[in-house]
Amino acid sequence: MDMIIDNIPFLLKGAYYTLLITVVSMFFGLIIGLITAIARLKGNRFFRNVARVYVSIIRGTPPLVQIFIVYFGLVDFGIELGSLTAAYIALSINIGAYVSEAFRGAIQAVPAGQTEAALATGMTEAQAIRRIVIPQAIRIAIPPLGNTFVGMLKETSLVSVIAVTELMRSAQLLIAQYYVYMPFYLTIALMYWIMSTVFTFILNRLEKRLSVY
Amino acid sequence: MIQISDLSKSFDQQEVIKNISLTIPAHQVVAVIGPSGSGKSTFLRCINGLEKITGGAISVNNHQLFAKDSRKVQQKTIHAIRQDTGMVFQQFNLYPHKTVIENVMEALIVVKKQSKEQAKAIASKVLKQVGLQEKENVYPSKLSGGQQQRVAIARALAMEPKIMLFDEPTSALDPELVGEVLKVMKELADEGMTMVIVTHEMRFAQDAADRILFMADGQIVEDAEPKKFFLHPSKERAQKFLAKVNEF
Repeated sequence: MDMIIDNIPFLLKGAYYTLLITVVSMFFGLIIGLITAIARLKGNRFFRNVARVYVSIIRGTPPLVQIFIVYFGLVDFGIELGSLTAAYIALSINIGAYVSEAFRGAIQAVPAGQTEAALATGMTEAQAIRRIVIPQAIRIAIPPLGNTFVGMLKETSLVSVIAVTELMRSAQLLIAQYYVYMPFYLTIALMYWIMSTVFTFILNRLEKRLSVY
Repeated sequence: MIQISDLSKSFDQQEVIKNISLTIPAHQVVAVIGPSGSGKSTFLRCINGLEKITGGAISVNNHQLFAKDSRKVQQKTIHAIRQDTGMVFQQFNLYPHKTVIENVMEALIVVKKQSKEQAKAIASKVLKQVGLQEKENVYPSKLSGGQQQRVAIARALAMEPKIMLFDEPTSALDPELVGEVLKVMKELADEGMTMVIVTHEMRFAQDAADRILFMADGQIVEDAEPKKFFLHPSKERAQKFLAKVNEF
């Protein structure tokens, strides 16, 4: 037990990186996802296809492979990324594909009459999407995005393999030092679970707050 | 004000509007009636470009839209036409995430680039006109259907359109709420607004309209003054339709 308590600061630092990677990747993933969703729904044929291929590749390949491609593979092209940067990039691109699917469904769930009403008042298509469709779509997308977000939190454990000292790797380092497994794995499992629960709670609150109408 | 020549519209292979030509002068109130599936709503939606026309031409307040124009030219024309027309929908289509006054202010800010204060002043004025000034700060979901439709009318009026298009504005309303919406529309008609109204309200068409267009199978079968149309329809299709409507 003392062994765990002594190392709590170290594990908390790992948890901090886990959170940081989750939030940063989710932030860029949201931007990528929104752009991709709009490209798929409103873009010309070229952008539609680029978006579709992107989503298809990301969803059809293991995230671990994607992380390795960004960290180890890009070196062949002279691009050497720090492990944390590589983690941000790989996970943002990964999560963007899933976010785009959530947004795409949500945008399609906004009734066509909303766009028509906006167009009829003289708005351009872009204005109608930005001012009328997207705000409603975001509210619809919050529950699926919440799931994606919590999924992301857990998926960050994968970047331990490229030497990012997040929660998973923190535990592995301690295990290498003490030669005991169970206490550390149980501890980080508990920490992941707490973070997931807190996120879920916050998202539920957000959902309630945004559904005032 | 509105000139339509040889207008046609097809969805895939199906022709919904067949070579309609007509002129609607300023300040005229036109009621479009006819059996469902006759193309009334499609006809109305062609006027402000919500449906892409497949043949002929439409001129609204001198903005001329030709079916043969390129997409880009058409988009420009349609955008100009929409600045001069307001539209009211069967399902209201209010923005659920915005309050009543925000619904009305939205296009003033986004399209006319007005300041919030200017937009607010205008929105308040038109909401008063439709009798909803106390509902400014509530969300549409808290309103009755009749109130929602009046907000939708206010939203259109705020842009100071020269023409108002109504697509079955009372069809989705409970019977007891129809009157309040028709009253606002009647006031608008009396003020001299040019209006094209697709409707199933025969009484209203008779009382408020200057002209009846009876449509069937994508064509205008009869084009007459209300009195003449309702008392002595000349075409058999119209006679049959009115007989059915009057059965109850």
